[in-house]
Amino acid sequence: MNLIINGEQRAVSGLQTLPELLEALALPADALLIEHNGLALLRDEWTARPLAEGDRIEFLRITAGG
Amino acid sequence: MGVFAPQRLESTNLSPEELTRYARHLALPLVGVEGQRRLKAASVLCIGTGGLGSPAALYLAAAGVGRIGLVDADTVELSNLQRQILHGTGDLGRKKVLSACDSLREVNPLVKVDLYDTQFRAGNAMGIAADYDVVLDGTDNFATRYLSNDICVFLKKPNIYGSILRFDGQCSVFAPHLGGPCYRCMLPEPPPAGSVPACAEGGVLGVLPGIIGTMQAIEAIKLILGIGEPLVGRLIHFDALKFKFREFQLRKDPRCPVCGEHPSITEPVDYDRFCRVPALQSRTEAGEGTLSVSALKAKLDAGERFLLLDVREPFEWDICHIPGAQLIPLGSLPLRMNELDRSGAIALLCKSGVRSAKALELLKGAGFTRLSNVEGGIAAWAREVDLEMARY
Repeated sequence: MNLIINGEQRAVSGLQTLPELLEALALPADALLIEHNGLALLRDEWTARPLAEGDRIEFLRITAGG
Repeated sequence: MGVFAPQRLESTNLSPEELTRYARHLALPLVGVEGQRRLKAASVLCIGTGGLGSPAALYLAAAGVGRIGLVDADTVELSNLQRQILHGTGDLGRKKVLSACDSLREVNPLVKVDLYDTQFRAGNAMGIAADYDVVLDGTDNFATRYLSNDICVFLKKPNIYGSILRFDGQCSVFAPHLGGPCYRCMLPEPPPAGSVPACAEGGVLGVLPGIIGTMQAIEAIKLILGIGEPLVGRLIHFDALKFKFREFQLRKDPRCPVCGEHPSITEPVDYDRFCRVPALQSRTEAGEGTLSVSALKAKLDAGERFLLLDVREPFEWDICHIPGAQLIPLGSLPLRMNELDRSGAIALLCKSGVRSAKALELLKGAGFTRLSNVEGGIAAWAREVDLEMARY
């Protein structure tokens, strides 16, 4: 399956949901903001969120420095 | 819709000096004399006078915001000057609020500056912020960001958020009373303490807060003037290395405990506890698990056999380290702990004692028993034992 992750095309295989993608990318969930096809997800919407060919995913780690 | 009652504008007029000083604003169709009067009648609270607060407060003062509040309990340190442009070399050792006040007065003596030489805490935050129209969050930790968010929700004031780390910055406006989400909608749970580095450990490009802090100042001015589209429900991410801006669409969480339909949090809480910040007290109460820097010095001088394990980052080690110590950064410790002798005594050291406390828990969990945490870290060592040591 081809996904566009942070603006770059990535081929991934053997996964169907967002949590599986996080695991495959070794991205810790701490302070992570996720936008799926232009929609910022609330935390409880991550679980079992299905992914499809061509989906756009944007990740951002929230920081606290000032 | 404005951030203050329209009556306040009636008694606010511009002097001939002000008409000249703000001439470039008066020429702007969306500002003009009325807009400039609005700025003069308005007040902004800057929480923090560091990297973000510096450019934000300077530009707000220059723009003619009538009253600016500054909250900061820190003193100016040499490592601040790479980015905190409110403060100069001659201000080293001075209270930041005093140094900041001098800089703002120099830029614009017509602006009233209120100083709060204190930490922004659950106990004083509501009282301080109640007196301002807009709050600008330039703090440097998750606990104070949740506090700043919550009190702004309670007081129905816009919270202009900015944050920076390394080469990346973020900016948004949290304002549930204007229909947008709050910080908790975006981040319901804080990350585990220590999992997201602060600028002190991760570093920050000195210019970066100049960009993010001025974005915050722009949003403050737009809200005061009631012009344009505020950054409500949107978060801007700036990547300086790629020079790219991304916009995230944030959503209000109807189940948010602070701004949702049935809020369960209606007054400030214990934010250190919420963010699991290790309290100084609990570290010292650990008794035999802690070691003062003077006790460490005595052990080293006596030639006692133990490992002094420094868990800071390599760049911190390069700035200063205690001779004889071994470096394993906290992040590498889980993979490298098999290099260590499980039966030997280990004293753990970091900059201030927080990361070493985490390392201690980690090693304890892996079966190490003879562990101690050096209280106050290498910062305390540089203050009390080796006064010549470089500080950062």
